[in-house]
Amino acid sequence: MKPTLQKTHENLVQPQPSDERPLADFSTDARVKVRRFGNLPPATLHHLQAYGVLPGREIRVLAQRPLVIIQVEESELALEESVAREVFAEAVQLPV
Amino acid sequence: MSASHTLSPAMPTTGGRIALVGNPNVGKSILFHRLTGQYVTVSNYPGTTVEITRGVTRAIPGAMIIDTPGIVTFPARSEDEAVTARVLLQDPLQAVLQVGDAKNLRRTLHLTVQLAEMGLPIVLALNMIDEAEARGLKLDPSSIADALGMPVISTIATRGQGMHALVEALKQAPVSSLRLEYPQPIEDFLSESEGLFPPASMSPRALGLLWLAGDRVVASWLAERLTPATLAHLQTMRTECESRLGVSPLDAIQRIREDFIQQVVERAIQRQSTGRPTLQSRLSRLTTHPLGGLAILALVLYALYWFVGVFGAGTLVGLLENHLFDQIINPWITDHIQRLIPWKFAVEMLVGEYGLWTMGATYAFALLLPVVTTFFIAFGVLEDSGYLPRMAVLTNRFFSWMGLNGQAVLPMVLGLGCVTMATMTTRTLPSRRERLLVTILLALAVPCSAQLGVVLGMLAGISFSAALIWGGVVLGVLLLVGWLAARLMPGERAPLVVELPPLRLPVLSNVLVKTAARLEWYIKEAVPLFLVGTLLLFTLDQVHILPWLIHATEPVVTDWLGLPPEAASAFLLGIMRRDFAATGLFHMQNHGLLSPLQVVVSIVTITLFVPCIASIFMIAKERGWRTTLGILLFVFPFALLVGGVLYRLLLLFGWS
Repeated sequence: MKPTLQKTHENLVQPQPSDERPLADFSTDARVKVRRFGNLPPATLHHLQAYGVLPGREIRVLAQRPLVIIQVEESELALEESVAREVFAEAVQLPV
Repeated sequence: MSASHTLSPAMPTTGGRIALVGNPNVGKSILFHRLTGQYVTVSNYPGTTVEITRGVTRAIPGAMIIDTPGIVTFPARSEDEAVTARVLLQDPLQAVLQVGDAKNLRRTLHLTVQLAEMGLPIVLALNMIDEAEARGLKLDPSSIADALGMPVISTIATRGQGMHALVEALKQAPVSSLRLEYPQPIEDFLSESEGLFPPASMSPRALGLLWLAGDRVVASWLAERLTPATLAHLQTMRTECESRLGVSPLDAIQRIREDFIQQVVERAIQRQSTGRPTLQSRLSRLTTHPLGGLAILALVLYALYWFVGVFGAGTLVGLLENHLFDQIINPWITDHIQRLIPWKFAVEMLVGEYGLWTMGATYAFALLLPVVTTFFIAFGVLEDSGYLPRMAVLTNRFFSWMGLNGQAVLPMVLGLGCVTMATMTTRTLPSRRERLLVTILLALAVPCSAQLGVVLGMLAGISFSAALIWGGVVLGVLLLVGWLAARLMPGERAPLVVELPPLRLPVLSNVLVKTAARLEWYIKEAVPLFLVGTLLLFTLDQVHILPWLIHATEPVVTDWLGLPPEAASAFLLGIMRRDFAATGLFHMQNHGLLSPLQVVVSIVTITLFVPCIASIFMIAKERGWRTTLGILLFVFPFALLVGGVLYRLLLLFGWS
């Protein structure tokens, strides 16, 4: 059996750098791959990284309202919009 | 370069302390209780207000287990996390037991790698292995153990599974053989700095990595132990390393660790199926739904109000205060004391109008004990169910108005139970700014349950519009003062980033154990404050300052607030017991001494007016006397100002 990351590598071909958007702009249930961070307070940035929100990682956007809720591994993390605007990602596969 | 700090490998083997370390929400406390049983002590970590639980385990004779506050990663972010860092830095440790969430393997290993590098004997407990399996994850602990060079034990702490193997591993915990290679500038820094660090529990390599990462705990610890010259030298070395790297050292270190963790995870997760959304996850989604979530929140708050306000503050207080204390215990004690003690002064002090027993103890045990007990139970249920962070999500927008984030909901809701208690829980907030803001708002505009009960009763006796005016004014003041204070206070608002743990059915025994521990705190910490307050009031009365104070405040009460002079004494007594003010006014309302307009003005004033004397002491304990004085100097005149303005506005609009 292949671990999850194998999937990510296959999908790497598809997205272009121009597909990069802040987390706040993805639709609910989108699978996305984190690209980079914008302007965030260092404490917030490191907190996110410790939860596994890191460039190259695949995460899921579970909700956009009232806050942006993402799934990292098996954890759910709620982010305020101001934070979700500064985390840039690309779509891995469009929601069905 | 000074060579005065030549270092033998810092590996204290005596002391027999085992530190339990882990991310929040990984079942660390449950595992702690599994290991130690009931023989635990709670005390403040030296020099902080953070509580640390210690216990002994019979399975490992002579070893003491320390339950450290949950930490997401190093560098530490909050006061609580800093304590964990300090334990690892300076406590003589026999071993470190990391408790990790099996289903979040990357996050767990992120901490494991950092702990392993510290060079302390270490064991990893992969906890909640059942939850990982339920989500289609099959883990191979032995491959993790091989990669990290340390024992890895699968556990299910809630069921006591894996405890025996864990204890055996702890008895002979080895130092991890893990050694990650960092980019050359970092490696150069680490080998050069090794001789500069003072002896610590953790390895100089780990110290160096933390120093490079800008860890504030390590920085202040080093500042206490190194000469300014050595410190400055280390700083220069860090800057040099940073410029050679071209990125921040923390980012470079993180990348190496992540790559390593990636490899470990790929080998350790043997099977992964994408599970279908479970009932639990659907319910979880509903609790944070913009509309459904608010409906659930309303239900939860109503249930909380019913259990604490109606059942606790109504039914139980009625039974305890009116029946047990007022009719049986107090007459009996008063009678005996009057017969046994011949000195009138002592009798007055114990069982008089402002007696230690008749006022202080009766208040603490007959009135507040049932309220806080029901509150602690309800709170424990909310806590263990995983619902609290969801409340933070739903209320974030509201609190962002006041320069806070949703995390403030916890002390604010607790304040509706008991402001004294809530003031203490502000220490869970990450920044000093947030702690101070919440403390001010609690002191000013959050009525506690003792007061709320009487106030709502009085409002019900007038009209719905009276209740609306009261609620509107108090809420308005809360928002306005919060808004202003947030803008006046230096510092920035911290945006909300919060983990939503899975919703779980609370385990009754866990809730009860926690409630018992909190009640012990209440009796040890809060009850003495009520007694001191009573004594103060008694003294003021004995030296005739109290009647004088009441008389002196009468003009303000009559001329500015438009109330009868009798209200002055209700206001002043309210400083001792918040509900006294309300009860005094209630009494006046019943005797036709207050018009509806006067009722509204007076209860708005007392709601804002007084944090009770116990909460004043608690503010002083948590924030210092200067801050407390500042808060009081603001709250008292401000409450009177709002009351007086409201009085004139209501007159102007002809409300009655």
